[in-house]
Amino acid sequence: MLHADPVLLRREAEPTQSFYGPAPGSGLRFSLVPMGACIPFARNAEIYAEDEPAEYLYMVAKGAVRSYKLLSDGRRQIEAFYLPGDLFGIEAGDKHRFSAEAISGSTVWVVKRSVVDRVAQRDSAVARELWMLAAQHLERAQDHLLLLARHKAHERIAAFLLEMAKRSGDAEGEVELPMARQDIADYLGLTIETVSRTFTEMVHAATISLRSTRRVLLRDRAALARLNA
Amino acid sequence: MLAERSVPRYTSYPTAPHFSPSIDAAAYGRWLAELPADASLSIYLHVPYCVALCNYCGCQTKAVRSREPVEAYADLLSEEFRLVGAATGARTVHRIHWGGGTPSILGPRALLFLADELSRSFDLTGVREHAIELDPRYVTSELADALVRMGVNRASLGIQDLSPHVQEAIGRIQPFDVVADAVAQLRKAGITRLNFDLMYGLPRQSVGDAIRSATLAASLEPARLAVFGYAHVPWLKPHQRLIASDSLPGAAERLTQFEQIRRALTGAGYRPVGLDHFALVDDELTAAAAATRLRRNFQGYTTDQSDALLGFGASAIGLLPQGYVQNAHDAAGYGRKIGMGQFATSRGLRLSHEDRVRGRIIERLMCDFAVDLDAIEDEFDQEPGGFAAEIGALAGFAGFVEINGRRVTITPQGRPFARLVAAEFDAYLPKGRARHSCAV
Repeated sequence: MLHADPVLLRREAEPTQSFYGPAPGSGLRFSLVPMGACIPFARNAEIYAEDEPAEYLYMVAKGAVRSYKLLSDGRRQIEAFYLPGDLFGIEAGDKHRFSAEAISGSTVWVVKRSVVDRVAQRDSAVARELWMLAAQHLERAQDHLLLLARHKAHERIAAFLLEMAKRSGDAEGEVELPMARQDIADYLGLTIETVSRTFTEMVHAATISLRSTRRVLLRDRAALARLNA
Repeated sequence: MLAERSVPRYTSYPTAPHFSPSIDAAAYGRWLAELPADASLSIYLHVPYCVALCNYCGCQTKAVRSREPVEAYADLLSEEFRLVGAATGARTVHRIHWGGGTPSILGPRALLFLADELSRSFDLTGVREHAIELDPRYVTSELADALVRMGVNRASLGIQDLSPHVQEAIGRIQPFDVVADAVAQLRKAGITRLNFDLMYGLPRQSVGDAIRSATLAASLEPARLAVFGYAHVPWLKPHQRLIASDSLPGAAERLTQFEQIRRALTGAGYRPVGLDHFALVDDELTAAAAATRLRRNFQGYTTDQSDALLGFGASAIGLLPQGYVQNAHDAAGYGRKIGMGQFATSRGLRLSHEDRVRGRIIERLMCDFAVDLDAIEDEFDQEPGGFAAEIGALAGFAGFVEINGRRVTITPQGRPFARLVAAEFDAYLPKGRARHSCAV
């Protein structure tokens, strides 16, 4: 049964400019949304695995997703986090290069790649939108690269918090962090002990405070920005 | 001799060696969800770090030289508060207890941070007792002030023995002055309910040492004292291999040491409570004992009547209406689980009806030194007239146990052997392969 999640169709329900996803009101949303389906995924459920044929494109409708690769020494490197409105699963080739899992119970909108190709062929606005999305992903990968080049844990975590604030922070500076400490560690290339210790130190320094489950308040953005300079 | 038999201390029933990995994070999640919103909670927080390990240490802890693991642990504990808080509707906390290790190794800032974080997930406004275990060598006025700001109103100090040669043998040098100073700091800050822990059966400890330590400790007028026998279990706690077993008092001398400590403390005005606690006349523990309201948990004797005990931190044990749960023993294992956003439950036990009945009998024997089997059977809707085999076996305790119909009473001479009497009702003991420490 192919029908779109009504939430995606309602303009009012659209999230603000998403990190990875198309801008509200863009042609991409409205042409393609009816051609996909919304699928629920339980916490930690696999959405696709590395090396699987890349037959679909995905967008997070609700919840959060992580893409990752397991390295030969057993460590997990998280490539990116996807939040509501973010498109993911875009591949140059025909196989997925990373695996993707739901971080929490999530709803993911799924559309066949072949359908997207067909629409892009006849509609140049959609084609342009896809090009922009790919360029945005590239930008984010470049930022991630620069983040990993930093030596200090404080700097990596500051960069991470500011990135998350840009994507899903509210006016008061509260950020939702849907992922566990281990996920943050594996995204930033740090040990969980370092991540946890740095969070404690930032709380002591009043740079951040930890609210209820998964909400962080950025109290001193200037300090974070200095670390990210 | 009776004292040679190895039986548990019955801080739980069934005892911890019988916990199994079949109770996991998923079970803990379900049990938490089933707690009613008005359940009264007791919270235990374990901090598995010390500045240095004492040779006799039987606790779940390790020595650390830097702040880093401790700071990391503080963040993970706060994560666990959020995880557990989100999984249950229960909110109301009546008691908090920090144990370890040395909980105060967190330092004033991290302690205040954690107390604040705990208050975000739970309602701490009705907390009546907030206790913390402290090492007298590391009590400063800054720490004492932070404790008061956190709401701590009871502190437990490890004294063990005050003789220099014993302290040298156990790797814990803390002269009486250091203890007295710590007590003064705490009282000055406003923490007046103080507990002291004393030990007997320590290496090179004589009966005279034990009496002297008890008398000196009592002179500082703590509200309560707990007296524990050293448990030499180097196969479980490799660190104890630093203690030569031939430097340890034998079973008969241990018994004498305990008796003399008891005499010294009662002489100083303390009332015995249960097997190994002593309290001032006006302390609530004394009142609870007299009214048969005393309970028993992993901290020993308590007045805690909470519906559920939630344990946080590595190795922490919780007790919910459905049964026991225990977190991963080591900080690394604990951190891995909490870091993944999962409960750190590694083992536990679902209580059967029979477990509850026997557990209650054992608890009353350990607390009141008497139990009315009819009353217990009534309380649990059990068929009357059970436990014939156990009552028969108690005939072997002539002089230590009196049986009047369905009421079992441990005589004053039998009290040091209460654990052995309780063990008769332990359905797990003959089958269990768990080794425990000496019965006295």
